[in-house]
Amino acid sequence: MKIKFYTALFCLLLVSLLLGACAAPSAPNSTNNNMNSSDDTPSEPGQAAEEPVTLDFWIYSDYATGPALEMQNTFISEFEAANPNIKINLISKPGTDIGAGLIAGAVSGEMPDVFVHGLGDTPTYSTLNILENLTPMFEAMPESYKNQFIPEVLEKAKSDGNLYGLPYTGYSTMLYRNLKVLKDAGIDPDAGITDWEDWMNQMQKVNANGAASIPVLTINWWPVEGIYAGQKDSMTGFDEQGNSNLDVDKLADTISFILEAQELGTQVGIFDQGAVDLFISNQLAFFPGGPWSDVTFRAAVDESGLEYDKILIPGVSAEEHGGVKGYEYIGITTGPNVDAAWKWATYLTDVEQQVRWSSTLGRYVPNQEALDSPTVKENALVQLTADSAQNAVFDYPPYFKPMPPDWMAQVNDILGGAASGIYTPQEAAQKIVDDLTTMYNNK
Amino acid sequence: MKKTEIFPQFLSRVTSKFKKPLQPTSFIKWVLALVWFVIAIFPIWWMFTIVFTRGGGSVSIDPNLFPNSIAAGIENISNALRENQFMRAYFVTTLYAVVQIGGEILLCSMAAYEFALFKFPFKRALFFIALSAMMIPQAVTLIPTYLLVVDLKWLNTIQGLAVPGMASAFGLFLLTQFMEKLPQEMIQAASIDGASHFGIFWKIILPLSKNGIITLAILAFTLTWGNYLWPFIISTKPAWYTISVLVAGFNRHDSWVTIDTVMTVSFLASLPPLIFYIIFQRQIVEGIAVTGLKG
Amino acid sequence: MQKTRKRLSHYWPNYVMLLPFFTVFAIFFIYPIISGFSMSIQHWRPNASFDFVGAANYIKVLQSPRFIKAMTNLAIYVFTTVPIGIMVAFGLAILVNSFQGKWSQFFRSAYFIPSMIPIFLAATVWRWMLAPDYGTINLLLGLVGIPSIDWLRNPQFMISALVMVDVWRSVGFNMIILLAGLKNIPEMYYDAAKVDGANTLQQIFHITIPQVEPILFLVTVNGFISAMQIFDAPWIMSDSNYSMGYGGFLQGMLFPVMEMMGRAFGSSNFSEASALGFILLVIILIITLILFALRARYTQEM
Repeated sequence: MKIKFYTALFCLLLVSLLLGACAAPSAPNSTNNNMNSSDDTPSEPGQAAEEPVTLDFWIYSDYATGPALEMQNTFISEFEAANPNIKINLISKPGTDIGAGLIAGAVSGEMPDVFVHGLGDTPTYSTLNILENLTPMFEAMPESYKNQFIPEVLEKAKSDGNLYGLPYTGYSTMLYRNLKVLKDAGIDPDAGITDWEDWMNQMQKVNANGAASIPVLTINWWPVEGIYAGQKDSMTGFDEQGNSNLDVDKLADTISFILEAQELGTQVGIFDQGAVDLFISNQLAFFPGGPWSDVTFRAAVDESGLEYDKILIPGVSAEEHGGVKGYEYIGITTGPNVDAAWKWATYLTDVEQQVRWSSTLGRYVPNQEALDSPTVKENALVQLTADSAQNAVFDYPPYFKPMPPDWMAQVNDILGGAASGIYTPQEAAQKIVDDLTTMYNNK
Repeated sequence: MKKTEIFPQFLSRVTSKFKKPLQPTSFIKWVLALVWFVIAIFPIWWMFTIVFTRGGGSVSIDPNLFPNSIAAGIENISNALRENQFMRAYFVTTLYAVVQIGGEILLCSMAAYEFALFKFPFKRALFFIALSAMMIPQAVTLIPTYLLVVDLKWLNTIQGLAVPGMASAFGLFLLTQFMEKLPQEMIQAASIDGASHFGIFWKIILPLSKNGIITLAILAFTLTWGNYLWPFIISTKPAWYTISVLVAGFNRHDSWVTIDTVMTVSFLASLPPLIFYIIFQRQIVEGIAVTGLKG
Repeated sequence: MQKTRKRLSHYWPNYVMLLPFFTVFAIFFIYPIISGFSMSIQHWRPNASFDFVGAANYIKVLQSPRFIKAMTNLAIYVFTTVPIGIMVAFGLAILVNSFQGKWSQFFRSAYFIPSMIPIFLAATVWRWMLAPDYGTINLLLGLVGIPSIDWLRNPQFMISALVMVDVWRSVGFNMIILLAGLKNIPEMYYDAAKVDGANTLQQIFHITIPQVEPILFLVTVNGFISAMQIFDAPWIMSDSNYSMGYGGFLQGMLFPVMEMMGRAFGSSNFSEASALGFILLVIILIITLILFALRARYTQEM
């Protein structure tokens, strides 16, 4: 009898453990899940007004590695010193995971308080209703704060007149050139590249000398846009009637040009590690990429003696230049921590921090005051990005308008179809324009 | 039973191969065996080679067949170990494996004890229901279980990772198979001595089932350590990433991680299963063979 | 009444011991199946009331081109990888069994090693080995004069790449099971066959295969069930994610579980995802039943 009692007790214990485990985390303030961060500040009773908050801050992983991470940590410690009740929990994610995380978060409730988002992600967010409208808080800020941003970039973050992000960073693509490959092929890099024809000539020489011209670009819409931008009056996006702004003939020319160039290239795709490796090991002449690629190449200069430079992506004529551009914003999710999140967001986007960020990392910031500061003006990479942005097209319009989640994949498939001969360049261009217009209007 | 020999003619040739010249069938046999040996080992060897190769940043296109720098390997490994994220993932994965396997062993051994050694009403029906789970694809329960975990506020917790997998039909099956072979007389003797139902389980059956439990633990470990799909949806915060989620993330083009880092982390992630295999080879092989034969 | 109470009082320790297992089993297996089915017949949103839509989710999934593509890929994949995997595993089992003592053990141990490598790691390593131009596989092909194949982006080859990874990883496991079966065949069968003058091939077809048939069948059924749920390898090898797309170029590596995950976590459509899961369940059950029926017929004929 006694031992039967133990049996019952044991099982009761097991069940209660189970139930206990169910119940325990549903208590409010379940931050105890987050074990690696030091955010488990016990809340002191009686301090309701000055309740400590921990802000989950989601950021792209390339903004949170190496020198960028050091800079983030500096900002965080400064901000936390000035605001003792706010703690910042920096969480880095690959770019596309931020969007996916917010979508899943709409169901699971695992949301950041503040996060970095590109405009390309806005269509998804707008259907989820998770972005805080920043207009009232923005209007309450001093004029000096409000006027520092580039107006066009600020406008882009508005939907129906409401502001959904503070301008934070920007990029525009450029062409990285391996100087050794060019010289070996008998090309004088100093002469630059005047236009597509000249570029193709150089690529032929490179190919004849046994190196590859460019990686495969037709795997993704993004690098193709960058070449497309090198034509007069090129635009992505949609007009008032909801038709795609892309010009079928110009896009067809672009695809033909890229396919011809890829004949002289390698099978390695632009997003593969192999493409970077080929470039570093002097087997690839041209690599179109964003300013973030510069970090990798600069490291290779020391490690393997890479000789490279970066120029604007050539256009169809000497007056035109290509490139893709996009801006990133700090967005705030609706929730109890909006006020603290706003403090952090305005701190990060203010001129003082933007100057440090930009000049240290060579990253473009859509902050006119910061761009005008002498230290930023000296930074060649920032200036090149700014120049590139003059001609570049926007990366993933439409912004704030819902599109099918796989719209990019559909465009990529058409490009792949052109590369493998399923479509002629003209057919592919027509299909891209038609499909984009259809997708834009259907949803 | 004595070791069975399928092709005695082959064997006589092999054993006498030092006396007679190698026969063609025997030769082909050795070639085949060595070819598959290379195929089986090469990817793992290649991973190891990249870790121990001096990086100029271009290892992915520079196929070394042999490691050329121990120093580079040590540097790669110490870099990965210093990386907070990696050690954290290692810890989370270990915790996940230990908790899930601990729970699985406890739950499954208690149930297996009943199914293997006792008769009671609805026994066959209950056993059938539990084992039918082996036929149901995880895909059916994945989404609703995820939403249940969300409701319990178990996302990014160890219980969210480990508890749903504890009632394993496979574990129940394996341990029931094992316990059926235990002598009934011991139970009768023990209950005459006044041992309780649970006491017999705890003091007699569990110790006797040690080998079966070890086999289950090892097989469950390899499955848990390598599980990607479940942690992928449950661990949404980097603090709760398992090794699988971390490495899969490194594979993404927008993670900007170089191949030497990917391979170093992969290499370190493959060590625990491989070390387990070296130590517990006999149990693993026998465990798989037994479950396979009995099914 | 009296009898039931007596039975209960007699058997309650048995049920108490079963309770922990079946509690977890009910919460995390039975309940999800029921709630999953209920989700699949409604338009489910978080914190919303039951909104019955009948078979609409099922019809929508069954009609979508992506699902059809995923099922086509799955059919090609399953009917390639399962037979190849079993043939290789069976061949290896015979091969290993033909060695003696030390070497037999050595090859058995070595061939099993890939099965210890988690799928996500196998996919990671093979992704690099399958890279165009400079990947190991393409370098090897180059040695025999075959031009580089873009395994992970050319839709003609994407499924073959997955089959390679799966066969590499899974044959060791099946080989162990088959090997145990081979060792159980009484030696006298072979002695008798030799007396009758049967050659090696005849011995395999007339003794070995019929003798290990139950094990071959089990391995086949298991192979089908796990191959139908493929997710890790194609997700990783096609560089998939929710917002930039998953399944690779022209959805050449799109599989039903990936499509289910995408519908749930990529576009928050949990109802359609649940419906997709149930469609997959029905297909798996049908295939399993067909396999059992075929076997019953085959063994009757024998």
